[in-house]
Amino acid sequence: MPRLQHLPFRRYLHRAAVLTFLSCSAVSLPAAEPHHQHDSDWLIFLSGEGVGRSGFERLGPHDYDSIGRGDILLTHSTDRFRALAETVVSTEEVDVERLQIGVETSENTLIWLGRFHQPASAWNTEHHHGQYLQTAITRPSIELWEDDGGLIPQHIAGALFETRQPLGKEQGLHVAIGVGAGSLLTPDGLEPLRIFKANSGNHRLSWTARVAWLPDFLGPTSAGVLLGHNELRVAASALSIFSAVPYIKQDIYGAYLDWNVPNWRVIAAGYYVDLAWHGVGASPNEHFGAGYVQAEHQLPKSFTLFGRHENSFNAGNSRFVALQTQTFDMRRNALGVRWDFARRQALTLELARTTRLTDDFSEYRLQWSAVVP
Amino acid sequence: MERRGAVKMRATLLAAALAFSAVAAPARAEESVALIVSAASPITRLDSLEVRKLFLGFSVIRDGRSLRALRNSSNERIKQIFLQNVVAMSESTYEHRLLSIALQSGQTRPVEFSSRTQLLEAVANDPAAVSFAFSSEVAGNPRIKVLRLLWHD
Repeated sequence: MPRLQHLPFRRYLHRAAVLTFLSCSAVSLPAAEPHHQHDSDWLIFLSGEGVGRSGFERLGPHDYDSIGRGDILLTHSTDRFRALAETVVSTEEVDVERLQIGVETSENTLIWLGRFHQPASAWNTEHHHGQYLQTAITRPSIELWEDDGGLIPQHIAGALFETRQPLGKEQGLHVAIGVGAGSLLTPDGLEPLRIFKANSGNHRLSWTARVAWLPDFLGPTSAGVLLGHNELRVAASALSIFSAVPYIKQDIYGAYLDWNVPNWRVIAAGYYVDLAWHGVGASPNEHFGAGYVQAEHQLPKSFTLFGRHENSFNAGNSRFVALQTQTFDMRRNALGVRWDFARRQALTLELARTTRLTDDFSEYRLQWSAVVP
Repeated sequence: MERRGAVKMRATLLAAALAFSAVAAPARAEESVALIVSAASPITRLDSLEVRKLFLGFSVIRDGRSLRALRNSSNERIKQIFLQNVVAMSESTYEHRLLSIALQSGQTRPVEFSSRTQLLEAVANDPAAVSFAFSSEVAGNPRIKVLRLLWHD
C-alpha cells in the first residue's frame, strides 16, 4: 500500500487517541481531592477474525469484517458525575463511537450528554463494541452498525436518560430514552454525526426508547419494548432514486427478550420498520420487519454452543433495504462454538448459511477475542 | 528406660500439640468474614441487597455520596467465600457481569486488592469505601469499622 494511504489512518489514530485521552483526563483533574472519591477504569476489547465464504463470487467492500479490532473503553466517575469514551481502532476504521458525560441525579438514574448508542437496540446496548462479551462472532443483520451497512441508526448525538428502579422486592424496571441528532442517508448508507471528523451537517431528529422489565433487579435477564423515530435526511449526493426526497421518516416498533438461566441464554428481538418518504413526488410508504433468536448453552470445560436464526419479511420489496444488498441478511442460520480459555480469552467458530437480496452463500468464521486488563 | 520413653513420648505429644495449635490458631480466627468501612465513614448499616448491588457494579448512594466497593482478593479462601455468599456467582460469571456493566453504563469496576495491608489502608483512608475481610484481620484495628458479619463458619 502506498505510503500516502497510511497518512490519514495514522492521523486519525493519533487524533482519536489524543482526544479520547484528553476528554477523559480532563474530567480526571479533580483527582487531587482527598479520600479517593473518584475512579477511573479502562478496558481494551481485542479481537482478530478470519472469514471464508463459498457460493459467493462477488466480494464487495463489506464482505469482510475487520481482521483486527481493538475497542478502547475509558470511564471516569466522581461522586455524581461520569464520563465514558469508547474508541474503535480496527483495520477498517478509527472512530470515537461513544463520548458521553453524565450526571447521576439519583441512585441508578443518569442523564448523559454526548454521542451514545441508541437504547432501542436489544443487541448493541448489551454488547456495544465489546466483541469478547458477545458469544457469537457476528451480530444480527438488523443490529449492524451504520458503517457496516446497518438499516437502523445506532448512534445519536444528544441527551440520554437512563434509569433502573426496583419493582417490589426483587424485580426492576429499566427505562432509557435517547434524543438528538440522528443519521444522514448517503450513497454509502447511514452516516451518524461523527466526532472529530467532518460532518456534512443538517442531521435531523432521532429519538428512541426502551422500557424493560427485569425479573431480578440485579440479574442479566430482561424483556421489553423498543421504540424509535428517525428522520433521515437524504444527502444531496445520495442515490438518484432519492433525489426528490429531502428526508425519510423511519418509525421502529420492537420487542426483545434476553433470558438467562443456569447454562442457558436466549436472546431474541423483533423489529417492525415503517418508512415514510417526504418531498415532491414522494413514493408511497413502505415497511419491513426483521428479527432473530439466538440460543446459547454452556457445556463443560468452558465450551459454549450457540445457534441463531435470523429472518425478515417484506425486505425484498423495500427500496430502502435494497440500498444495503451486500450487507443485509434476509435470512441467516448460524451455528457455532466458543471456547473460553486462559484469562479472559476466547476462540469462536461460527458457520452460517445466508440469503441476501442477490446471493446465497455459506460462511465460516474463526475469531480470537480477549479483554485486557 | 520406660520413664525416659514416657518423658520422650510426653515431649513429642506436647510438641505435636503446640505445632497443631500453631497451625490451627489462624484457621479458628478466620471463621467469619466482616463487612468493613473506614472508622471515619458515616455508614452504619448496609443490607445484603445493597452489598450485592455495590459489588455488582451498581451505584449505591449514601448521604449524597457514591459508595465504592473494594474487592478483597488477598487469598483464595476469602475470594471463594465472597463469590458464593455475597454475589452468588462463579468467578467467570462475576467477571463477565462486571465487564458488561462497565461497558454498558460506564460504571467503574470494584478495585481489586491482592494485598490485605493495602486493602485495609485503602478502606481506612476512604470514608466511601466498602470492603470485606476476615474478622480476625480487622479485630482491634481502630481505623476500620465492622458493620456486620457477611459469613461465618
